[in-house]
Order: sequence, then C-alpha cells, then structure tokens
Amino acid sequence: MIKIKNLEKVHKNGFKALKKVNLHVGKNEFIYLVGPSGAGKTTLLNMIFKFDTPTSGEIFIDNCPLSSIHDRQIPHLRRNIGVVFQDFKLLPKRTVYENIAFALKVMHYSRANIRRKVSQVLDLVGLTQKESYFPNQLSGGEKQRICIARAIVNDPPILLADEPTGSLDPDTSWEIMHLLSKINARNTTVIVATHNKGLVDDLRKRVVTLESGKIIRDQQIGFYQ
Amino acid sequence: MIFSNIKFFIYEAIIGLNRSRLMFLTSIATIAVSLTVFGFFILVSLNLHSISNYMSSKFEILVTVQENLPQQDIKRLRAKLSRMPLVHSATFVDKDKAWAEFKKKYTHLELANLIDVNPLPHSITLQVVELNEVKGLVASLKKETPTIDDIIYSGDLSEKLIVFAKYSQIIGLCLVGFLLLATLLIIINTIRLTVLARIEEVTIMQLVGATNGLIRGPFLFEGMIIGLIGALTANLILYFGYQYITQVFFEFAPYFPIVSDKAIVFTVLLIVGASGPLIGLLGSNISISRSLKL
Ligand SMILES: Nc1ncnc2c1ncn2[C@@H]1O[C@H](COP(=O)(O)OP(=O)(O)O)[C@@H](O)[C@H]1O
Ligand SMILES: [Mg+2]
Repeated sequence: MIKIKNLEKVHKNGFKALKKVNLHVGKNEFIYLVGPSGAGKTTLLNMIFKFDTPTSGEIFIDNCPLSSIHDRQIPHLRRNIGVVFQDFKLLPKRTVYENIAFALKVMHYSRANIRRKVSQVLDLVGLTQKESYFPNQLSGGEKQRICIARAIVNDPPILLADEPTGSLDPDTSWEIMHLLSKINARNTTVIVATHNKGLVDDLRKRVVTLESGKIIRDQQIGFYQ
Repeated sequence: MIFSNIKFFIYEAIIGLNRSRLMFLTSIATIAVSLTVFGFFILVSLNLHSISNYMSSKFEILVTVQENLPQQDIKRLRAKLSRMPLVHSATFVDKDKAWAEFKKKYTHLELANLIDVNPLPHSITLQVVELNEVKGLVASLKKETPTIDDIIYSGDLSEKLIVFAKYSQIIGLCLVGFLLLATLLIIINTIRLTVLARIEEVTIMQLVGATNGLIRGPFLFEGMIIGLIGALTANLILYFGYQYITQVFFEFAPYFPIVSDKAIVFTVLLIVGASGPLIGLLGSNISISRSLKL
C-alpha cells in the first residue's frame, strides 16, 4: 500500500529531519510510529499526503510515486488519505454535522449522499446524538471522534493520525485507539504517530520506532521501549 | 457541480464579508471614490474633446492675398489650399463684399465718412480639420505659397486650449492611475485579512482534498462583490452628478457644447461598472496567490 524508499528531508534551515527512511506498509495494516518528540514522525506523515515534499527519496502509494503527482492532483490524493491531528482542527462556528459534511461538500457529494454518509459515520464513532452541537460544547475525546469521523467519512483507504491522543486523558485515549482499531478492521490502512507508551504496549500491533530521523526498530508485535 | 460550486462560493463569501465588515465597507468606499474620479475624468476628457472639436469647427484662418494678384491666380490658390490635407474647406472672400459687411457690422464707426478706398485685400478663409495642427499648417502655408500676403488667426487661444487639454489629461491620468492602484492595494489587503480570518478553514479544506479552485472561489467572489458594489455606488454618483451638471450648463451656458448624449454617458457608466469587479478580481487573485501560495 505505502512504500517509502530512502526518504530524506532537510528543512530550509538545514536541519536533517529524516535520514534514509525505508518502510513498507501493507494493505489494511495498523502501524504505530513511535519515538521521542522531534524524531521526525510528523515530518514523515506530512510527506505521505504531500503536505510537505521530501528532499530526496520516494514514496509510493499503490505503486504510484508521489513525486509524479502534479500539484493539481494533490486534492485527489488527499481524498484517499484521511488525516487526524492532536489539535483537532475543527471549525468552531459550525456544528458537528456541518464539520463532517464540510469535507464531503468540498468533494462535491450530493446533499442526499452527505446526509447518509454523515449519519453513518456519526453512528460509527458513537456521537449521533451530538450532531447539532458546536465543538466548544464537546469534550476532548468527542472532538477527536469528530475529527476521525471527518477523516474517514468518504471511506479513504488510508488513515494517518498524528498524536491523536496527545491532549487526551488515558481512558479517553484508550477509546480513541480502539476506535482507530475498529476503523482498521473495516479495511483501512492506519498509521498512528504517538509517544503514548502504555497504549502501544497494550495494543500489540506493529511498532516502528524513529529516532533523530532514522528508523531504529521495526517489530511486528512490538513495544514502545 | 458548477452550480453547487457557485452556491458554495456565495455562501462562504458572505460569511467572510460579514466577518470583516469594517474592512469590507472601507474597501467599497475607496473603490467607489476611485471609480467616481475615474468616471469623472473620462467625462471631463470627453467634454474637452467636444470643446476642441467645437472650436475647430468655428476656427478659421484668414489668408490675405497679395495686392493685384489676378483672379485666375487667386482661384488657383484657393484650389491648392483646399486640397491640403489639414484644410477642411477654403472659401474665397471678395474684398468688396468683405468691406461692405465690415461697414455694416460696425455702422457706429461711420467708416464710410472716414475712408473712401476699400482697405481690405481679397482673402481666403480656411476651416481646419484639427486645431492641433494649426501651427504646422500655418508654417507650411508660409513656406509653400508666396502669393499669400498675410495669415491671420487667433493662434494663441487655440494653443492655450490644446495645452490645457493635454495637461489636464496627463494630470487626470496620473490621478486615476494612482487612485486605481490605491484601490487595488486596499482590496489586496482586505482579501488578505479575510484569508487570514479563515486560514483554519483553508487549511482544513486543503487537508480534506478541496481543489485550489474551490478554495480560491469564495475569495475571488468577495473581491468581485466589493468591486461591484463600489462600481454601482460610483455609477449612481456619476449618473446623478453629471445629470445635474448638464442641467446647469443647459440653463446658464446653453451654447456650451457639453456632452449629453445618453449613449456616450451610458458607455462611460458601463466602463466604470466593469472596472470595479475587474479590479476586485485582480486584487483578490493577487492576494490569494500571495497569502496561500496557491
Ligand atoms: N519547518 C521546519 N523547519 C525546520 N525544522 C523543522 C521544521 N519542521 C520540523 N522541524 C524539525 O524537524 C524535527 C522533526 O520534527 P517533527 O517531524 O515534527 O518531529 P515529531 O513529530 O516526531 O515530534 C524537529 O527537530 C523539528 O524541530
Ligand atoms: Mg509531531
């Protein structure tokens, strides 16, 4: 599904954030990308949905090299990759329903389809009753569920989550990780960047460890360490 | 799809404009002022042009012929003059007729009692094609036709008018250029503010896979609405203002050749009306490209 070859990123200020990163992610796999703050996790994820460009190396998605994707095609790439962040990125002046519908509207779904898809995804994340709430009326965990709902509402084959539990309490973090597992079980490739040690150790998934821009460990049923 | 895009643009644009109302009103006011001056300048230019046309049509150069030049030669001279490209028409004026008319015109001087002999020479009056060309015409007349005795024309006034028209046009153009540039900058800034106010939304749109066209659309629409409302305001001011001015001229200077042709005035309003949305679009386009790197 995702192949990363000799990926390197040197930031404008000369900082080497990634050094010769190689990684294969299979279809419908679930991966934890772990490592200390500043290891390069965000940098790596951003390049998968072309929010940033590598200095050298290549990323293939379904064997398609991202460097061959023209600027005009980037929106179509992004419709196939859902993204979730630590800081939610919800529109404060729009309701839960509108926030999720916004993504579909941008993709030109019809009104009837939007209605149907949004209620399906709200059901999946368990927030059907809160569709007319505004973000500031929700708890952190609920906000993150809405973000996840928005990211997967159009059923993209890939979901990237960058520190999705970074600002949540342990119990809520658990729920979010379970939701992500559930989404993975619906045939979605999921990559979660996190430094939440307890969760990684408990969930028994593949763990890829980054440190100073290098992959130092890649274990099938791994631990944070 | 195009229809749903336009609905999206309008909806988002209204949200954005409502959010930065004060800046929005300031932009409309500046574009209205600039376009009013712009339209006024066009109208003034048209009127100066009309005045100079009017004066050209009234303007005559009097060419006096050398004493004792035979009739045959005078005829030939008249024909030659009338063929000159800058000359509209050439009319022969017999000296006896001219003298009779002169005496009639100035009866109170009782010239007949003072002067026995007709002091006037035969002459030819020339109507010119362009006031601008009078100087050149006179110079070439002097050079090419030795049978001419003297050339009389009120060159000073016409030259002053031309100079005045030229300078007022240059100054007007500079002013209009300056104002339109200022307007453009203000629109760029207004749209930049609405972009910044919605940077979150734009980022989210980019993340969920909105095309650049969809992201730019609402901002372009905002620029266009600002330009359009500004232009409509300017047109109202111009239309009623100019109507009032023409009325005043009709009343107090009925012979003044003021441009009052409805078709011409509406063309000016149309130009002004189209410039507004165009400047708005241009401004928001520049602004989006700079603040979003799209
Ligand atoms: N735009 C940037 N310019 C310069 N350095 C950056 C930029 N973005 C990230 N970095 C640096 O790259 C390194 C990796 O950052 P990041 O990928 O955000 O790490 P992580 O997500 O693992 O915490 C950090 O040291 C960070 O300071
Ligand atoms: Mg990070």
